[in-house]
Amino acid sequence: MTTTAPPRKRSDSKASPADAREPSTAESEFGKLPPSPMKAMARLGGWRILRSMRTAIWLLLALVIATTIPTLIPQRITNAAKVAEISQTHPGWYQVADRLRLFDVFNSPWYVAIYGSLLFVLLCCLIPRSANFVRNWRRAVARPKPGPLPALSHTSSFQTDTEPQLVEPQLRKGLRRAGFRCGRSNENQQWIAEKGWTREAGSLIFHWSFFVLMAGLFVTRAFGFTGFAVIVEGKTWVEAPIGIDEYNPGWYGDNTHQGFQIALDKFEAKFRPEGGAMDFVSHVRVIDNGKEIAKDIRVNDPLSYRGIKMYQTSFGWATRIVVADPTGQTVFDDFITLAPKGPRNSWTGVVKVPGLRPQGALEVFFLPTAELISDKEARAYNDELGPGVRLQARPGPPTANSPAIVFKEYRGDLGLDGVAQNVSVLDKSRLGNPVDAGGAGLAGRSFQTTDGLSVTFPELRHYSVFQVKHDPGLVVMLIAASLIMLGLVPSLWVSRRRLWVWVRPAESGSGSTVTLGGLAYQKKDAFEREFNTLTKKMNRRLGTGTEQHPTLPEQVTLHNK
Amino acid sequence: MSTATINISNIAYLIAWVAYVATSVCAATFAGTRKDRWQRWALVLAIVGLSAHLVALGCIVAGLGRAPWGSLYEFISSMAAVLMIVTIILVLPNRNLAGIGSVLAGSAFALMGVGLIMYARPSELQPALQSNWLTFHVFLAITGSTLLLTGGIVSALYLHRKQWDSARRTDTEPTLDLTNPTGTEDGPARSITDHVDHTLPQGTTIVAERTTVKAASAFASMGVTSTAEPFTWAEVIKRNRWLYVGMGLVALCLTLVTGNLIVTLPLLAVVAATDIVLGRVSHRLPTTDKLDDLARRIITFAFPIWTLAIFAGAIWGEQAWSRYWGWDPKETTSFIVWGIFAAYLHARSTKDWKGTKAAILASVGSGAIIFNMFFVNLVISGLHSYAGV
Repeated sequence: MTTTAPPRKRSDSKASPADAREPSTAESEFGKLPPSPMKAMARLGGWRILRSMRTAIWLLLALVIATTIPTLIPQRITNAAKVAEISQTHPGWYQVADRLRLFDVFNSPWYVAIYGSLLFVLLCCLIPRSANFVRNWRRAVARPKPGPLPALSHTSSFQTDTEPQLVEPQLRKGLRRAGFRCGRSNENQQWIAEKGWTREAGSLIFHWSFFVLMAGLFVTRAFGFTGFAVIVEGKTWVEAPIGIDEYNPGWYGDNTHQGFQIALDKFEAKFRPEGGAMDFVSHVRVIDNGKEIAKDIRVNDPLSYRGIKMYQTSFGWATRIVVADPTGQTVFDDFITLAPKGPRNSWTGVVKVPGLRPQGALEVFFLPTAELISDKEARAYNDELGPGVRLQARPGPPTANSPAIVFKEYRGDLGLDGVAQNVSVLDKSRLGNPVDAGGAGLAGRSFQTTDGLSVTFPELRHYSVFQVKHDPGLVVMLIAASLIMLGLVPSLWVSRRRLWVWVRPAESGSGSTVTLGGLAYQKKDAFEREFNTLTKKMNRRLGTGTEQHPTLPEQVTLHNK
Repeated sequence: MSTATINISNIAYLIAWVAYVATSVCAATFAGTRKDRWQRWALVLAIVGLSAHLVALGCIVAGLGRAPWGSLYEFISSMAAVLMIVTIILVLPNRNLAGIGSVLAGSAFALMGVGLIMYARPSELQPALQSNWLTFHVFLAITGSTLLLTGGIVSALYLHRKQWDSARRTDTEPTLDLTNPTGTEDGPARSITDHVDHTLPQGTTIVAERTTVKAASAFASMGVTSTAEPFTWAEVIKRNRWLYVGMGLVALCLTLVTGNLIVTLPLLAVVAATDIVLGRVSHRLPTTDKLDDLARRIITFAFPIWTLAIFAGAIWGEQAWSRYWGWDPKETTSFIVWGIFAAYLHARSTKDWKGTKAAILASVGSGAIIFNMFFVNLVISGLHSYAGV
């Protein structure tokens, strides 16, 4: 086989073009310009190391080993509570491990370094390999030099009554139908056919796809955003940065907000009789430029609208609280969202009333299923609530059977000046001790505090929490995943075969002799059968003229390349 | 789902379980005696077992109208079924490979035994898990991981056979002595082929191998007995001592990190014991190239399936958990398994990595799959945990 060498595999790095170059003699080297960095690297063997499969395997294994750490050590991204617990229980170890970024492996410099190097090595392999593939595309089936059949693992020949000139097009058609790509023939009517190029092509696509994957990740991080939307039933939320909690914009800002509105009409939580969750649904309307679209957002069924996705994440209670000052004027009337607190099915929230002089605040505890309890119990449980509170939360189903609030009242300075504050966190540093505590049932009587405020709890609603996301990289990721599958399957399941075809006039005079030589690059065991079937098929196609059923082709097995 | 259906399912499961252990025994007897009837029996029993097994799974499908992987018990049952399908298709009908059917059917038996411990009465799925993507994802995950696991087991067998080959060949190889072959079909053929590999130009292998195999089996039929001794128990343990020490260390580490002994220790003990037994019978295993080829075929088939399983899971995660990838413990371990088998595939085409090193990778990969199945589900809490098993 003088026409083409089999394309190089990544594995035999020793044959890479950079290495194959003969180093010039020392004397001539002196008179020359210093070698280019690439050449210098090639001389040092750096290029060879970079391109060698061994390096890639070691890096892949290093990545695998690094990835085992997060299965054993809790990570902030998946289990922040556990990490916080460790920081409390083992502060010493925590310090050391945190320095090493063991709680945040996937963003740690060393993890990034490992997969960065792997990608770099991959790139160093892929560029020459892809160039090779393109270069070899024509060369693989180039016109062979006229001559006798080169030594191949399998050879067969058969006779046909058809003249050589007519045999060739027939044979080409047959081979093409069998999946072979035929090259041009030389003057002796010899040519090369090849099959299974999708193996190498697939492998290249597969490996390049990881860069597409990285590009997708980059696009997500750079131009997407994540955050949460908390919407109380009956209220409307606007898709804008200001309305998003824990807002996490992309590196390059975000001008992707659409400004549409989401009205939460109703939230429903359904539970099984035994207490397990059954279904959470938020019935919402998307309001956009006067257009309204109704949608039920469920756990498995997010809202996707103009590139923004909203996922049902959690829900909670929102209490409407009305505070009136001693003159009877309403100083606060709004829903406050409550966060779950403790194991006793109680919730907390904050009411801030900056309009009062001095400023006032209520620390609200909401009990979905409140019950009256004895003074003694009340004191034990309600220490933090203050004296005189005779309600406690009863553990039970998360439905509100006898809702009530209890609260502690603070007066003083809310510390609102200038600094942005979380609405649901009370800065008690300048408020002093609570001046009073009290409670109110749902739609019940108002509670009069000692300093003349009246607090009522007229209404209870659900709020629903949605994760809000814009991920322009998702499409890229999906493309990358498709390409990975598209490349992976042929790269593993297709095998490459080469045929050497020779059509010549039969020695007997009329008709022609067809000789096929075959070489398998993969699945060599299966090739013998494949080759025999192919020969038979070609023989049948061309016919033998006198004989209807061709005899089994004579088969010669050569043993020297 | 009616109690009668559940009873039928459970009884069928037990029938399959018993049939698989019988398959294992027959295949082992075949490996020892090389008598065809044992191979036939192994195949028949395996098919009977699989039929019962499919009835057991079918009852769940028919009774609940959902795929049979709602609990760890059903999941394991499905895995064992896939394992047996591979065994029936690829291993038992092939005279050269049928012997290792004992290991594979034995693994299915062991898996189903664990399944019995984890038994949970089949019941309705919670709505969050009722999704087509999820069904597709779990189906691929079961198929892919079982196939990879099988490939890893075959690679472990390869290592055993190779160990025996290299240990015994040094005693027998120096001359290419066809007049005094070592009776079994496998032993001498390998060494002669290797010898030929070094001395003759490439391309001769095929013919040379055929000749020697023929010659060797001819001698075998003449009743010439083996001079290559099997390993003694002491030898096996001595040769693999670092492996067992390593496994002990892994068990220790996992115990220290999680404070949970129940899953790790018995599992590793069983694996180590199996390993010692296999070492003892390593001379009965198929030749290294047969095992290598089988492992390659299974793993190259399974790897894209596993990849697709990960992608399908990512697509489902994007819908259900608002992200396609979040390094949940199960996701992390799936990636580890993927990485190990990717390394295996690359190692196979690398000069000094093919053979032993590649096989070690595949075996470690199968260990990672077991870890992924049991440890991640039962010990580490994550989104994929089976609540209450």
